[in-house]
Amino acid sequence: MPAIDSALSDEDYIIAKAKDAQKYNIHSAKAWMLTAKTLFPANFKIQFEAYLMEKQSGNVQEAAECFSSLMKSRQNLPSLLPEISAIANALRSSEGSFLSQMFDNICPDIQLTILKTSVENSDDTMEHCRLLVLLLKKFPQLGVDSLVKTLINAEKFFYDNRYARLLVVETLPLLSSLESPRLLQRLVIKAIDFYNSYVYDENEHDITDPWQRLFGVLDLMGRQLGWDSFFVNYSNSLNKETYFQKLLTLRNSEDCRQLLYCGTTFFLRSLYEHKSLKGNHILVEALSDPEVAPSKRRKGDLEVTGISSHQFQAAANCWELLHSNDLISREFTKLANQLQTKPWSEGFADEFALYRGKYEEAMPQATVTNLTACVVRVSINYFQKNYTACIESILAALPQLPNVEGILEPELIVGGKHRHLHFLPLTKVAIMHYFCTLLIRILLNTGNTTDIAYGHMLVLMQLGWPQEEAIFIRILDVIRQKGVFHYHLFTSYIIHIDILEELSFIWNEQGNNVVLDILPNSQQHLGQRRIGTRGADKGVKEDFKQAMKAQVARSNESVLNVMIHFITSERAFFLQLG
Amino acid sequence: MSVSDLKHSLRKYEFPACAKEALNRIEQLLVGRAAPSNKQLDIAMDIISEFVFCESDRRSGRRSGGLTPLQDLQLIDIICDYLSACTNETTKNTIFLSLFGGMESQRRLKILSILASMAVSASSTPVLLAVGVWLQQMGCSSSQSLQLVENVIRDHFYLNTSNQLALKSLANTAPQFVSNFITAVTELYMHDAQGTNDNKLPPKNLLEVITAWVYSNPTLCMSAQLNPAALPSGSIPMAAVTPLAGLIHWCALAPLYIVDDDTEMVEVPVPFKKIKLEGESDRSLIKTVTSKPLTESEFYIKLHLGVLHSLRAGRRTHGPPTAVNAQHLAALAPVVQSYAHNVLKRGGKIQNDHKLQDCLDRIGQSVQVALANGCVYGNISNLLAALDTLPENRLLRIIIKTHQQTI
Repeated sequence: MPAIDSALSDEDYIIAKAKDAQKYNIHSAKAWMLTAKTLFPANFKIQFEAYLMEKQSGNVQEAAECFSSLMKSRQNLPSLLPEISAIANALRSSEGSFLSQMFDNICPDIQLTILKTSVENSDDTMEHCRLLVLLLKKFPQLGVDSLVKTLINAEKFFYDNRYARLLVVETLPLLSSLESPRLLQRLVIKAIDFYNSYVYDENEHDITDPWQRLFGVLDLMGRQLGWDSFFVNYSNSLNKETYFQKLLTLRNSEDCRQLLYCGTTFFLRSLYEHKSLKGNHILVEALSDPEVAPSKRRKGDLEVTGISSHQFQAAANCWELLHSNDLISREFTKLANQLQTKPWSEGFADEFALYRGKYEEAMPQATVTNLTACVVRVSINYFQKNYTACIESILAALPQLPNVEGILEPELIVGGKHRHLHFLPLTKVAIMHYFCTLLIRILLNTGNTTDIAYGHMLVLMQLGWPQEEAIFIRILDVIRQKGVFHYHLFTSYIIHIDILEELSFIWNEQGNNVVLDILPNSQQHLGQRRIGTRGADKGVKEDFKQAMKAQVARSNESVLNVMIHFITSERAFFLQLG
Repeated sequence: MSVSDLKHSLRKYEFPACAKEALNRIEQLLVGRAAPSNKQLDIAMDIISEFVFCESDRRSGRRSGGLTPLQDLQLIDIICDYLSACTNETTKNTIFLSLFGGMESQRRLKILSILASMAVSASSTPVLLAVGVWLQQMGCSSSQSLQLVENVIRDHFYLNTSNQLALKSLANTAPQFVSNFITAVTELYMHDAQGTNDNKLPPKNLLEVITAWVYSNPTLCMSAQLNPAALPSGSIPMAAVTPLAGLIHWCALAPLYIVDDDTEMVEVPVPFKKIKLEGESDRSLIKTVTSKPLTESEFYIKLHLGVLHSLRAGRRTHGPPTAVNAQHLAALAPVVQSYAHNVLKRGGKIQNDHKLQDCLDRIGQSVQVALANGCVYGNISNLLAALDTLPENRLLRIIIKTHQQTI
C-alpha cells in the first residue's frame, strides 16, 4: 500500500484511502466512502467520488442513492451538469444503459430536478427540446406548461421543423391543457404547419395518422375555448359535405378562431387529398347535355366530375369560405403566411380560378407551352368561343401527347344545363377524346352545314363513340333529306363499324334516293353518275360495296391515330372555322 | 375443573399423547384476558413437569429415568406441531417460555437445543421466532442462550455445510431469531475483553452465512428491536441487544486475529458434483464454479461494510439511540492496546503495522458511521476518550476532532 501523503486535507486523505482500497477490495473502498460521507456530508468531492465508485462497480441502486443525495444540494448542480447531461442522453437512447436504470431508481422529485436542470442548461435548442420532451413524457402531470411556453417563445424553435416535430408530434399529445389561449393558438398554428408540411414531405412516413393527430390538437384548443365539439372530432370531418355545411354556420360568428383553425385544417386536408388523388389530371371545362337527365349527386349550378372532384370541391368551397368576409380573410391570410408549405399556390389557385370562371386568371401564361397549358388553353378558349385560339392550342398539343394510352372518359358530358368541370387524365385517349368532342361542338356551333363539316363530325365522333350518337342520327337525317352526301375523305378517316353499318344501311334501304359520294375516285363523276339507280350502274354499286368492305377491314385500326392524323391533316380547314 | 380432576383426566393418556393434551390444557390455564394467578402458574408448571417433560411421577416425586432419547424426539415433534399450529404469537410465546423459561433444567435446555436445531433445519419460522423471543428474554449472552447457540452452530456450521442457501433465507423469514442468534454468536468468538487466550475465530462457514445475512439485509440487525416480542401479559420484556456492537468487534479485531491469508489453512476445495441435475443448465454450473470464494479476510471486509450499512439503517426516527452501546465499543480499546504493545515489544512500528492500522481504520469507520447516524447510546465522551487512547491513526484523529467539536 503506497504511503498516503500526510499533507493531504482530511477529505482528500479519506478519498485517497478509498481510491487506494478500490484497487484491492470494493467493499473496503465503499466502507471508506461511507465513512467519508458521514464525516463530510456537504462535501461535493466526497459525495461525487462515492457516486463514481458505485457507478464503476455497476451498482444501480447504490449509485442512484449517491446521485440523489448529490442532487439534493442546489449548489452541487453546476458540477453535476456533465453527469446530468450524460443521464439525459442515456434516457433518450432506447437500450437500458446503466445511467437510465439508475435514473429509474431515483425518486420522482429528483428525476424531475435532473431533467429540468438538463433542460435549463442545454445550449443547443434542439437538445433543449428533446430534453423537454423527455421531461414531459416522464412527468406529464407536472407543471410543464411554462416550459412549453418558454420553448415555443424561443425564436429558433419556431422555424426549424425538427423542433416542431418534437413539439407537435411528441409533446402536444402529452399536454392536457394550457392556461394561455394565446400560447395554445401558437401551438395549434405550429401543429397545422407541421402536419401540412409533413404530408407533402416525401421522405417522412413514420406518422400514419397526421390529420387525426392534428384534430387531437384542435380538440385541446376546442376544449379550452369552448368550441362546438363537432368541429374537433376527427371522425366528423370524414363526411366532407356535412362538415362543410356545419362550417358554413360559423361564417358570421364574432370569434372567427373556430372557423379559422377548423376551416383551415379542413381546407388543407381536402386540398391534400385532392392533390394526392389528382396526380396527372387537369381541370377542364367539360360539357353538359340538356337533353339528358342531370345526375342526382349534383348540387348547385356547377358540377365537377373526375377523380378528386369531391375533395377539390371541398377545398375550393372552404377556400371561398375562408375568404368570405374581411375578418376571416385577414386572419386566414395571416395564418397562411405562417405556413411553410403553401400547397394552394401551385395548381390549386388556377383550378380555383377556373372553378369560379375567372378565365383570365386561369389562363396559362403565353410563354408556357407544355401539354397541360395547351389543354387548359383549349378548354378556356373553347368556352370563350375563341375557336381559332382553341384549335391552335389543340394543334399545339398534338405533338406533345403523352405516351400513356389511357381510356375514354365517360363523364366528359353530363346531363343538365349547368356548367360542368372535369378532371381530365393526361392520357392520349382522354385528351384526344376531349379534343374531338370540342371540335364536334365547334363545328356545330359555327353553324357550318356543309357536307364536309358533317363528314368531319362523323370522323371525330368515332373516338368517343357512342357519345355523339344523337348528333350522328341528326346527320343521317340531314343526309336523307338532302338525298346526297359528298365526303371524299370518307375512306381515309371513317372506319368505325357502327358508322359504316348505318351508312350502308341507308344506302341499301333507300338506294334510290340517297347518293353517297364518298369514294375518292368518284370525284370526277360528280354530277354525272348516281349510285344506286335501280341497278343501272352495277359497277358503281360494286365499287361502293368494295369500298365499304375495305373500310370494315380497317375497323381494327387505331381510331386514336386516325384522329391525330385527321386533325393534323385538316388543320387548315379547322383554323378557318373561327 | 379442579387440579386433581385436570391431572386425572391427563393421566388417562400415555406419553406422548399426554404431552400433547397437556399443552392444550396449559394454554387454557395461562392464556386469557387477565394475567394468570400465581396458583394457575404453579398448576401449569406442575403439569408441564409431569405430563410434558415427565420429570415427576404422580406423587410429585422424582421419576428415575425421565424421557428416553426417542421420547425426547417424540416430545420435540409434539411441541413443534403445537407451535406451528398456534395462530397467536402471544399464546405461542407464553407456552414456549413456560416450557423453557426456567433457568435450572439442563434436560429441558438440551431438548430446547435440539428443537432449535431442528427448526433451523426445517426452516420452521414459528418455532424459530419463538426461540428468538426466548433468546432475548433469557439474554443473548446468558449461559443458556450461548449453550443453545453453540448447539445450533455445531449442528449447522460444523457438521453440515451444505445448507447455506436455506440458512441464508432465514434472515428473511425469521429476522428476529437471526438477529438475536448473531448477538449471541458474537459473544462466543473474539470475545477477548480481558486479553485472555479466548480469541478464537468463528468457523468460516458461520462467518460466511452471517456476512450474507447482514450484508443483504441492512435492517436485520435492528429487527429484534423494531419488532417487539409478543409476550404474555405481566411479563417483563427484556431489551433486545443488537448484534451490531459484537459484529463491530469482530470486524475490527479480525485483522489482528487472522493468521495471514497466505498461511491460512488452505481449504481443500470440495469438488463440485459432476452429476448434472435435471434441468440445470451448463451455464449455471460454470457460473458457480467460476465465482471465486472469498477469503476469510475478505468476508470480514464485506461484513464490515454490511455493518456500516446496518448502522445507517439503525437511525431511529424518534426516541434515543438503541443500536450500539458506547461502552461496548469502548471495550475494544484495551484489546487493541494490548496488541499494539506486543507490536512494540517485537520492535515493530505501529504506523507500519498494517493489521493494526486496518483494525484502527475499521474501528474509526464503525464509530463514525454509528455516531453520524445516531446509533450510539451511553457515554459518548467516554467512548471518544477511549478512542483517544488508541495507537496513532489519522482517521481516528479526524473523528475525535469532529465529534469533540460537536459534544
